[in-house]
Amino acid sequence: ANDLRGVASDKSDLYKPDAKGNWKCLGSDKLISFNQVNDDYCDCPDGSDEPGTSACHNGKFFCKNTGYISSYIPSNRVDDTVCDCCDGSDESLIKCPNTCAQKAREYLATLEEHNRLVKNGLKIREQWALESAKKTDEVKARYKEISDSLVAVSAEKTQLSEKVEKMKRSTDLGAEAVLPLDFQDLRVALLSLVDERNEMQERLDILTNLLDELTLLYETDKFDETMKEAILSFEDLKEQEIRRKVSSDDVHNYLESCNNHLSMLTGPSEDITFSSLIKDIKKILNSLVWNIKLSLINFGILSPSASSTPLTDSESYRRFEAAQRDLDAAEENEKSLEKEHTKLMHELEYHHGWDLYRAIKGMETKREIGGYTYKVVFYENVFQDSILLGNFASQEGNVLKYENGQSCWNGPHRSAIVTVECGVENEIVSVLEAQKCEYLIKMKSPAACSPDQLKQSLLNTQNSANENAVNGMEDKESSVDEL
Amino acid sequence: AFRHQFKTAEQDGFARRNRDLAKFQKENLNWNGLFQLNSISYNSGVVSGVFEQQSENGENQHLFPFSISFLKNDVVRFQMDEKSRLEGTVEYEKNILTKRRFDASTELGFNERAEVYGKDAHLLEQTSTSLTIRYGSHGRFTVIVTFSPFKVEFQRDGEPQVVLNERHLLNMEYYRPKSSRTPEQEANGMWDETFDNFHDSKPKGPESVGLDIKFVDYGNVYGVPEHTSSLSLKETNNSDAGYTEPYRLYNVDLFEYEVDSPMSQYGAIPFMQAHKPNSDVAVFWSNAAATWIDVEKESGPSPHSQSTSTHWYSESGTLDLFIFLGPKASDVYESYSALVGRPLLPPLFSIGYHQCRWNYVSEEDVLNVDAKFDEVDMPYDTIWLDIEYASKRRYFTWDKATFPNPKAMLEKLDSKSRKLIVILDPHIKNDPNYFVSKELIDYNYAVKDKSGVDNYNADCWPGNSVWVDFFNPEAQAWWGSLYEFDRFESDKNLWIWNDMNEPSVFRGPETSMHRDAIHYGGWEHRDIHNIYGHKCINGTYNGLIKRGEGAVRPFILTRSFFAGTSALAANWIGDTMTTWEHLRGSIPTVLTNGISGMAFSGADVAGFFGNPDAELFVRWYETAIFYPFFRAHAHIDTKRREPWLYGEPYTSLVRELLRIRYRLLPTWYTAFYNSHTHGFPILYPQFLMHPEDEEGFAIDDQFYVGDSGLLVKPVTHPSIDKITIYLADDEVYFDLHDHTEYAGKGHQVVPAPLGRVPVLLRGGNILITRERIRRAAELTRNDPFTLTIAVSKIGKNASGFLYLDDGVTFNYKKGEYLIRHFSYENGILTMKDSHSNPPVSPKYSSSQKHLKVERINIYGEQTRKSIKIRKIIDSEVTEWDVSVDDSGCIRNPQLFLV
Repeated sequence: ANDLRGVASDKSDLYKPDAKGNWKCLGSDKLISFNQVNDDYCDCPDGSDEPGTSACHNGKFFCKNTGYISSYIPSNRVDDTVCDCCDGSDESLIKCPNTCAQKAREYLATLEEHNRLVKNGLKIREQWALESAKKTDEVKARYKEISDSLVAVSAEKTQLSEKVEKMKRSTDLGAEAVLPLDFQDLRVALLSLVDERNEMQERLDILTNLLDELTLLYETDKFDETMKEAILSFEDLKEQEIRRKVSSDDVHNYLESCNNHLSMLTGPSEDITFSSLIKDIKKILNSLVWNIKLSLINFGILSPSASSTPLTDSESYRRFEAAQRDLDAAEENEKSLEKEHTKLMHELEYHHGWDLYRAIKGMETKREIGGYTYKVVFYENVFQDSILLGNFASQEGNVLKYENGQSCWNGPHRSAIVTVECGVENEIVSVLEAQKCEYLIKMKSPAACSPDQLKQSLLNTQNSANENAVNGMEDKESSVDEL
Repeated sequence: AFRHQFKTAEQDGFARRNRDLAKFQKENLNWNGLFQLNSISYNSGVVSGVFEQQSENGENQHLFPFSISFLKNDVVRFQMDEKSRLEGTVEYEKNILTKRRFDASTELGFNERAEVYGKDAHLLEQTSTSLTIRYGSHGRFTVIVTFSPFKVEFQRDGEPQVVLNERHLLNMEYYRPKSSRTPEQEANGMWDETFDNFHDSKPKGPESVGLDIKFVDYGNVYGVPEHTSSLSLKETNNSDAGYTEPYRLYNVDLFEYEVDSPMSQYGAIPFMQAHKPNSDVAVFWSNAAATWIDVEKESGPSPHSQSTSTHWYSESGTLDLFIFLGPKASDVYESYSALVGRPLLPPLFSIGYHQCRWNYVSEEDVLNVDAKFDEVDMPYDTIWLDIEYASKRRYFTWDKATFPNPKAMLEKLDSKSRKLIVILDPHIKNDPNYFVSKELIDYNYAVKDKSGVDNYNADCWPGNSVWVDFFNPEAQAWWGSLYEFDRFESDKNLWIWNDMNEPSVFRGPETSMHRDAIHYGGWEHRDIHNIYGHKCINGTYNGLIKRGEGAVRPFILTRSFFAGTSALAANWIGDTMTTWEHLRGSIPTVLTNGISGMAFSGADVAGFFGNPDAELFVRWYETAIFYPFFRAHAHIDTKRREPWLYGEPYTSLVRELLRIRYRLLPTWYTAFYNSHTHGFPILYPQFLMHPEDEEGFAIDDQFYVGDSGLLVKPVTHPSIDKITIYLADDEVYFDLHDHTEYAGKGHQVVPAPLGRVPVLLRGGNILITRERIRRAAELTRNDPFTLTIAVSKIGKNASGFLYLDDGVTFNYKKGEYLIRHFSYENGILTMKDSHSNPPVSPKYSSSQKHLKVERINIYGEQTRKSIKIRKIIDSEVTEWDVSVDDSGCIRNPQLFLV
């Protein structure tokens, strides 16, 4: 068949005139004369009428490239005196040498070299993967150990929690039952003391009256010295008594205050936790006792030198506190184990991009370029001499990003993007400071090798056998160029 | 800007003295100036005479011979020198100093093009008080020389146009021995001066030269680049709407320069043009020293008109003034460019798109960017390397760690007709292990310091450096020889960028060289400062010519320039900021450079310092595709800025803008041909296209692309989607994007969403384009053309012009070119060749037989169904009819250029 220039054989059916000698644009309904196809004038908006010329800015030219790989080039490269198709079919104004055979040889050699490199890289990668798997197993074992410990600690915590709860309930019950009664007894005792004080006051008044009468009757010269001494002592005591007098109102105020304090304690509020309740009670009781003591001393009932015995913590409370401490320790232990458990679980589940992450983390690669020594540490950092270019931040495919490096003198923090290609060893290929303080680093490493990088030959050694692959070729054209 | 680093007029001794003279004159209107006429006579096209001036102390008489010469092209030249320095009867402390005043016209070769031509000059009258001479090929010009007080008035048809010395500010400071100096002279800066802690020993004392020049009845004056200011020059006498400082011409490395300022920038062209309705005149002040220019407006002789009075003063040199009387702007440009040198016809690639950045850091980086342009399908022609490519900034060497194989890199670029341009600066690292430095010093080709014995050492990019003395012809030739492929490892598609050639000196006075440094021939740097950059480029140009064996057109980019540099190089306007203000300011700067002769000019896209947002980025590309020189460039600290990096939709917008540039390559190339042939600017300001319309005389935010009829008004403010464009006449204008018609004198609103630069095609023009976008400009050489006929409203006609050649060699001088005139009227499109000089080579013509017109668009004649094509080649006429479709398009008219 006589193919139209720039059209693949398998698409030549699209370029046939209808019965009237007309033809419709492929991407629109515009109808033109078939004579206008490849007449070097652009008629179709989609450029489809000029596959073999540069008349349309948006057309595509098919390079058959027999012996090599068929491809499409943009139409604006047709007849521009640059040989883009290896078969030279894109240039009619100059003679292009046919370089397809040479390109095929180069392609095959490159392909073979590439595949060998990938295979060798894959071998090393497998070793690293095994090593990484071993480390993963270690992590898994650690994970299991932590999990088991966590179960045990959790059980212990549950047990301690129950114990504490039980002690709390019993203590609460005791307190709720006992304390109000104790407080009531205390009130009764206090009232008795007041009554006794009142009675003794009455007796004191009687005695005072007797002595007053005696003083009125005595004549100093008629009594002996002993009697005279007694009367003088009484008069001194009387003066003293007047200074020490405490009013009944004060006594009543004190009693009322104590009574109010005691009333507050007879019905504990639901808002008060048991621990704080105990603490509050102790505080109030100590204050109450102290106030009562002062009152009695002021009343002259109690000697100032009398010692007092403060309330002591109950044995049950001490046991409670010990149990609570044990519970807190168990909770803390559980929390710590949970944290590590989560970390390990995350480490096991998190996909770092490369499955051999654990084998190469921390692996260093160095090279001197442009007078500087660059060091790339996988998953850690990148240095230029002693200047930090960045710490590992993220990975996307074979691209590792390192950020927040040392600050530049007038600019942002340094950063580095490390693009890794398949290689048989770790090697820094190039460093490009494409923008101020942003470094593009190319590396080779077995880590970036993948079986899908192994390539089959795409050569079309027959006219028709491989042309069906051309559509797919468009997407792969760049990968071919990268070989 | 670091304003304090640069002098004000008050801080420049000679400027202060000359400005004081002007003040004195205003306060003493009866004062007749410093000079008396001693003698005068006319003979064979030259008025000759002598001025005399008494010393301040009255003891001595100083003589100053002068001449007024009538030259070819109806140009008049006024020259004045100092007898004692001419005769060498002066004594300087340093014997090495030449005694003469520097003559820029001799150094730059203008004299060879300034032949006296007395045939058309006729003495009309000579009295005891004046001399009257009629001149000009048409007899319309008259010059009247008045003796006392001295004045020279140039008239056209009896009307005064230009007047010299009306205010009697003529000045030439006479020689005086240093031993005679007085404290008053010291205070006036006649002797040692210190500025910004830099000492100027000033061994020759005062030697300034000055003159007042009035443009009678001209309210608008333009020119005297390089500065960022309005196109129409502002007043400098403390006007609210103007400046308090004069315009300054002193080439400096102005870091982050100010927009709207008379401050000097990187280049100096002391050319000023004056315009009034249908009339243009101009002057060219040929002086290489520091120069200031005061501009004042005053009432003109006509009602409601203005005259412009200017005052020019330079630190040293001769008085050498050329006067051009027009009457048309095209006459001025023809005459002026014939004198200083026609602008170059650049290689085609250089009017494509240039991708630059300080710095592409390696071969890989360069080739990645190159490949990416193809991947995103954007055309470009040239990629650039800044100073980091050179090993330790030693020019003419490569850093092999990053550029191991420059020839291989160049070969890959060349496979797609692309070029590499690298920076090479005239400061040379002082390093005995560096061959350039060693040779420069061993051959004694370096600029000397004030001792005249030791090399001038100072700092620039490489650190301690020495400078090439381009005033030594041997040093120039040596510099040129460094570009040979065996000396600088390179290939034929490598071209040159000479930067920092003001020259820039880090920590030097005003970031430049000390004025008392000594050059070859005993000239102080003071005498030649403004042409140092030009001499540098001259050396480079000659070297590249030799490298190409005289056949290949070189491309050079320079930062510093003087009159005549446009014959050698393109320029860019220096270190712009990434701001809307700098984008706006770039347009009048490029326009001013253009009318002054430096037409191949542009600004860094999208600003050198800073990072543009996407809107500013795209708008700058919209503007830049209409700069004569179109290059992206950015500072090393900026983000990468290749045109695809802003993502969509900005990538597609920029791609389409680049395509507009490439479609118009035939238009640009033809404009450059007209510039090369006639000295025209590439971009025409409004006043040039519409010389009668006063409303447009000061417009500097819209312009025409040559005489193609394309009117462009870029968008230079943010957040705009439409713009007002001024139409100067009642002609119809067609929107280039969608053919919308606009008509009616006045302001029209044109849509301008982001990515759509407002471009109108004026009726009466035929636009000739190539619609096929290739990867590089040279690859379009075989592509067909599209004609777009914009039928005029009045007369219903249109015309266009196309010039083409190989775009690479000088073979166009041997007839290897084509010229085609297109005209349309009454339904007939006529294409004819041109009887131009040199005659077209038949062999070349034959080799272009494949070139054709593939499409014709007709705007403005909706009802026409067919037209006749008439082809006239070598007087042979061929005619045929072609049909027009409903959209006004003619498909494949079978019209071949040959």
